[in-house]
Amino acid sequence: MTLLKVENLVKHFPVRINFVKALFTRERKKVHAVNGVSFEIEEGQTLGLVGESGSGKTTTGRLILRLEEPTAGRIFFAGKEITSLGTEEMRRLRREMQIIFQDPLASLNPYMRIGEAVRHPLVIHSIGENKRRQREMVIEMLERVNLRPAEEFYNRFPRQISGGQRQRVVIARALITRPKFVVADEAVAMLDVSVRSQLLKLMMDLKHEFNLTYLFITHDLATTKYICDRIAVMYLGRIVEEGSFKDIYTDPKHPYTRALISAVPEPDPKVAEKKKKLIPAGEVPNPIDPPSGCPFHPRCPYAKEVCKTAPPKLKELESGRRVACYLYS
Amino acid sequence: MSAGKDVVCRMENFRVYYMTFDGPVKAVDGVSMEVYKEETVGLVGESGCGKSTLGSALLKILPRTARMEGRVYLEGEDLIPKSEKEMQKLRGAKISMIFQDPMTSLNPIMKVKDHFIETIKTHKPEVSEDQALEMASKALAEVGISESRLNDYPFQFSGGMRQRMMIALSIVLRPTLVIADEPTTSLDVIVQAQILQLMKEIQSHIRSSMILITHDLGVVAEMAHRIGVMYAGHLVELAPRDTIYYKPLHPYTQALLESIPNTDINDMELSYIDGYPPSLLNIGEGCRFVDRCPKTMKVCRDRTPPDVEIEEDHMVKCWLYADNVEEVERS
Repeated sequence: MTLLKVENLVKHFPVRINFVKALFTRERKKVHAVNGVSFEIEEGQTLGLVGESGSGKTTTGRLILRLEEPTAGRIFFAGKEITSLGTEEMRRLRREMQIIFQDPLASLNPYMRIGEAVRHPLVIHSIGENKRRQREMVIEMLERVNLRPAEEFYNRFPRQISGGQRQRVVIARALITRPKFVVADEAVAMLDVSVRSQLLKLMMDLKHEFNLTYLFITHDLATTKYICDRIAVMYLGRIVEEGSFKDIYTDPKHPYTRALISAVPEPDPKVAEKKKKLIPAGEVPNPIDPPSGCPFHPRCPYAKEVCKTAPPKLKELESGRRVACYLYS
Repeated sequence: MSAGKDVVCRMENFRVYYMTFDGPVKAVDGVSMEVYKEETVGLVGESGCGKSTLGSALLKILPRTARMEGRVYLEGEDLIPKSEKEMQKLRGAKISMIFQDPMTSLNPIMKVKDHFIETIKTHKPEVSEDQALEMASKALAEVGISESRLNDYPFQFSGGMRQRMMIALSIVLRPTLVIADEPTTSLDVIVQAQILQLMKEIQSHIRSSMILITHDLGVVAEMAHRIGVMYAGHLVELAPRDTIYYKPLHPYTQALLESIPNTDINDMELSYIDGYPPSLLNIGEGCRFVDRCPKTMKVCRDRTPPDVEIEEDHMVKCWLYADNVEEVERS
């Protein structure tokens, strides 16, 4: 069953200009953060949304939870369109849709004890008959994410624990309402290798235990391997390629995906020597004024005339495999 | 050891403690190592292991609360007793640094060319402004930035360009030792690959030595000749790159290597190290990995392991490999 579906999602942010300028010019510039993104996630699956900074992956995640209002496009959750739900309805729905942010220190209130922070969603959604019951649920959850002894962690403040432990708190808070769908936005990016792997393992275990569906947003292709069933690669607000994680790893089609995979530093010296580097020159263009046609064409080694004219459509090559590139049409 | 190789920098029992009201935080504790000419040594470790403190300590740009002990020789000169004034003469000229975040280490209201003129004139007052500009445009050309951008400000550059400029600035006076502290951490993976490639080219071109500090084992593996692994202020293992990767001896190095995600799709097992590193405040004797180590012995808790020389160029700080431990203590 399809749990989440987005159709042609678009988000443009207006660029602020000063008042005097605004009087004399009619041109209104926009940041083209998300430019027509469509995908589906099956219940119980994990979709990895991969891209560099500015690719629009975080905005996509925020649009789905309606933390940003989309400029255009539609969002369906569990078969129901949620694009134009009101604030109150959306609030109720968020019990089932949660988000884990990158920086746990920024997403926890420094003056709120950890236990209270985790209990907060229960208060908002009136889950648990009284405070004592809610407290029990929090303790249980803290134990589940390995913050032990939970009674002791309950009364600590965010600054008194390590970064890895803080991220566990954020995970506990997101999962305490037993959501169906979780957006993990660079959830492990800030952590050290050994701790990052701990947290990834925890997120994978929790996924099976609570039957979660994840949208796993990351810039790091290597971490997607362990947790994602499917991967969508974004570049300048568009999905350029989508497929099972195996396809993306072993047989990337889009020139950008190939570049991205070859750029991952390889710790094994023998593998590194064999690996071909396909590093495109230059950097990601400014999303205020994205290139015409295919967004990757100015850096693409295979660019043809047609690539400059119109952005290529995301075409299905084979079942479950989509690529937006003129090389394949 | 290492006969026949020119030593550029030698550290002997180097310690850096941050003094606090509660006692010393032993950020770097007893590090001994050498950096040879034209070589890149990678220092890897997780946050708080002391790798950045070590890098900054070599330039003596630490906060006032830091106390440095031991010996650090740069081309035979001991840096520890040097005054701030003497250090200023060395920084930029003999030893320079590439920081993680170029935006905070460049002056936002100084033009690109003024950064270069300041650096050059501090060390070579006899150089005229025109000559300095010429050196600057040459250095920029080496990193792939056109000289027309000399009049720009750093904020007009993209992240990758700023890091290129930082590199140009750090090599304009051809230092003997460059310390690169997480030079690509804030960059995207494709830009990172471009910068790493550039750093390799530049280093072989100006023939300097480099200490590359990073948490990313992939980055050091691509760049470094030798790799040093740090954990909680100790240098726990130091060996040539391939030895570290294929024959790691220290239990921490072994666990760290296993916990890195790779892109090999036949290897789907994700292992991790349980627990967290210890607090370095007032930390006493003993091995610091003891609580997370699968092979802990009694002696590990009581005494700090020695730097054991396994073979030429392979040091490991671990009791497992020391031969002077009595059998009683091993249990």
